[in-house]
Amino acid sequence: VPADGLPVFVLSGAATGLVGSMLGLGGGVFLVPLLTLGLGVPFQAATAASLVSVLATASASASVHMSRGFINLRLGLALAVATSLGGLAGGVAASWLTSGQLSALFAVTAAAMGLLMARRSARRNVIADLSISPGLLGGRLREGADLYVYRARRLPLGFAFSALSGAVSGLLGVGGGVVQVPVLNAFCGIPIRVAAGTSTFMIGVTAAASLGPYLGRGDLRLPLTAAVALGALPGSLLGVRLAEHVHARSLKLLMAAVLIGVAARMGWAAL
Amino acid sequence: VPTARRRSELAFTGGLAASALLLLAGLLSGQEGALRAGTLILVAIPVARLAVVAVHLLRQREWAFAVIALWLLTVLASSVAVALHVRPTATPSGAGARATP
Repeated sequence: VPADGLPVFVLSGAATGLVGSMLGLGGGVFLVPLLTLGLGVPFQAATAASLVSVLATASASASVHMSRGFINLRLGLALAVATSLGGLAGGVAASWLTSGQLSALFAVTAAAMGLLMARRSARRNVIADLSISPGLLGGRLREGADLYVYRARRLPLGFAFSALSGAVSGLLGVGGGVVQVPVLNAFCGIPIRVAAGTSTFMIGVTAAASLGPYLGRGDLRLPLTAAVALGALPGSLLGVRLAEHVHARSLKLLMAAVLIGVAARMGWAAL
Repeated sequence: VPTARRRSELAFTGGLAASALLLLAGLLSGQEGALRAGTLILVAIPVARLAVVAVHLLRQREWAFAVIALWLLTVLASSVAVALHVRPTATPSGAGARATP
């Protein structure tokens, strides 16, 4: 990597960290195509750099999410079981489907989720009646001066999609937060901020686990990766604070836009 | 948030700051060691956070969730084992690196 190219990588990391931390995504879904198609980085090196950038984004925003009570640990851990089992199943599914078919499937799912998020953007998942029990996987959420309760609904669907996201992310390198956050919000009744916070906690763990093979193979290009991660740190700190001042509805619409964009990209890849 | 967890969050924030400084210094000076250390800290923080959560759940006697957290930590440990194990296949000619899809 030429030294004069480094500022571009820092900026890419910052932009990814900004949007990723607002929505609880790692940002690999933007960063990998940006690095490979836009900046000519080989796919393996781009994926490794993206994983480190996810770690930077997740670590920087998790502290803020944790202090605000936006991380639902029980829910995150329960979903992690589904995600890892899905990851195993993904290896089996890979022998049935071509990557084109997988991309097409992912594109259709992402587009449907995007439209659903946009349609339901005005609907809130919170209950103002504090006497209602949040249940095992629900919780309480403070927004400004108001305290709300939320309950987890349609959990089997949430687990099924988590398993799917585990399967797909192993195969396409996409799908940690970008599947979980919309499913948790649109189907499972989890407020968007809690969905994002919980996802942030989990994607850090997933990215650390996925990085092992890349490190071993020597796919980590240090100056490039460091530049991207260095940008992602301030970008995500800014993003997570920005998200606090943005309406939940705007966050959902931003998520919907990201999903439609991802659907377009995956649809393109499938053709 | 309990005090122990808040304290560990403070440590993680310090770690992030250290990592950012190391990455910046490494990029400006071209020192690989600083870049490697900065990156390693980034990998270590989510793992450490999960370990803190596991301890917290054990203390709270939330056995089911504690078991999940501990199991995830073993998955992470196996990933480290993979990182150490895969290395020998990467021969100086780069055959190992090419063998990946």
